[in-house]
Amino acid sequence: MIRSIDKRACVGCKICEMICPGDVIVMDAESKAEIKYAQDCWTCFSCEMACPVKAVDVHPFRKPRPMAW
Amino acid sequence: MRQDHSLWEVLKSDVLIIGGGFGGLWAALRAAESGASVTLVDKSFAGKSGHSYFAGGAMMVLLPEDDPDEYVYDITLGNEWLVDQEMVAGVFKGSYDRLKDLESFGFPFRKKGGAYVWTKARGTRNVKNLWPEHATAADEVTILRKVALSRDVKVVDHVYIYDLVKDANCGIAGAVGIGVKDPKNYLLHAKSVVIATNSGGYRGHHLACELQGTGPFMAYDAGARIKNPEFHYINIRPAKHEIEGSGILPAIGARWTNAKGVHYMDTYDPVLKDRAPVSKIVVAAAKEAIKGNAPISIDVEGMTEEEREKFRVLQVSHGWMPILFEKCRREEGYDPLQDNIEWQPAYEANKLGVDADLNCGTAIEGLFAAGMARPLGINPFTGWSIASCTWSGYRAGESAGEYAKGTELKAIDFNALTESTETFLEPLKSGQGVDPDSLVHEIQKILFRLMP
Repeated sequence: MIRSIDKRACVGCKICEMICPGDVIVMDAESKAEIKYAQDCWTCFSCEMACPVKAVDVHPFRKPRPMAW
Repeated sequence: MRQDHSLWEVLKSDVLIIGGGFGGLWAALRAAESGASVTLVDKSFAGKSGHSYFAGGAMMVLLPEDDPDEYVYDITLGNEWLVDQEMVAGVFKGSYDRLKDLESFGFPFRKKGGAYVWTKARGTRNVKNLWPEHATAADEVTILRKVALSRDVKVVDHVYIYDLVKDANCGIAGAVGIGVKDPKNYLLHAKSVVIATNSGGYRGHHLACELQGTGPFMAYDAGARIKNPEFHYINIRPAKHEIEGSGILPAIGARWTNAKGVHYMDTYDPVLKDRAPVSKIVVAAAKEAIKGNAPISIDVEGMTEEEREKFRVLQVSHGWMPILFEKCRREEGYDPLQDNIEWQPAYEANKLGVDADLNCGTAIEGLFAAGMARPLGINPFTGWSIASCTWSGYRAGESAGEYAKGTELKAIDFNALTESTETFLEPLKSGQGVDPDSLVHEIQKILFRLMP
């Protein structure tokens, strides 16, 4: 799941916002990327891979899922 | 309500494609090739959303020297005979040509000594899976998007389509949607429509857990027949994170093992063993867990270094997998290819799709279905999803392009759109909903309690 976006490093290019398949990231009032709906992240690493300044960090683990037993 | 015309964006084209995975992108390419103007719309980012981006990348291909009957037999048997054999034959008939198309787009497949590198597909005796040079399907859909743009396909990202639009005579006239990132309504006016949106999934375990089933639902709502709602897509996934390769690892040499160290698949499928169809793998894992033999693992510790290296080359050399592996090593202290981790039987999605013929035409004139929105069998196989979504996309795009040539844009009563917009927005007003996790839990309890 997405862990952090380094706002000091963010250059406001909006690529992460555009590329996220889950609408997890929005731009804040200062045109910096911000995690809005972390629970919708499915850990695809698209934002981390696309960020030109490596400001996005995604942790490999996702939300634990319920099992039937 | 957003009925103010100034808040509507109206786009016109010959063919409208809904969904930007393999089915949708191939449909767009083929329809554009036929000379049609094409709009492709995706609720997220076409080429990144849905299942396609996260697929392992293997594609079943019938090479010129292979026997098509053997391929059709294997896939039919693996679907427990509940599959349209003519459709299966069609998928393989065109598969080599699509492979050549992909190579011409700049997406090469692995070769050794001039021959394609292949592995035997899980759940089959004879079917070959070919492997892209770039590993995983992430680069493949990215390239297909670029080719679509180069063929003047208008790609509309971040628009959520929620209803089909029909004219006064009930003919398909396009679709309506809502902007995910802008406060606009969208009317996508078209002569023919391809639904390529996958089925519904209630946020299941696999990646691409946003599958909502809107495409088949709106086709059904418009009068199309649906098929296979009684079947579900179950799979086996790592408990904590994603790894693509539950099909390829056993093909390379890894074996399913329980907490007691028993390689139990010998009992559940004495012929194919660890390469059994995924449905058997999942049921076996669930039975082992219920017997108290969890955690289930794929025994990578028993692999040779040569086998691990083969997996690294095929699956962990491009796309998102290298990042995941590197972070597991650095932050969690294990290597998913050296240390056994827990895998779980899991619910992914429903197999409901829009009933369609071999040209991917539905019961509604001008409406076509592709990708997982079109029934493509009841069981998944490594390499089958990409092959069948490629086939159905290509065929649906061709059919939709042809259909559009012989027809005009139908008249739309703009005011009549009000009703569908209101219907769509109504549930959002309550501010309450069902927790998707609890739905998944309930489905799993039913599925695994009833299993044979």
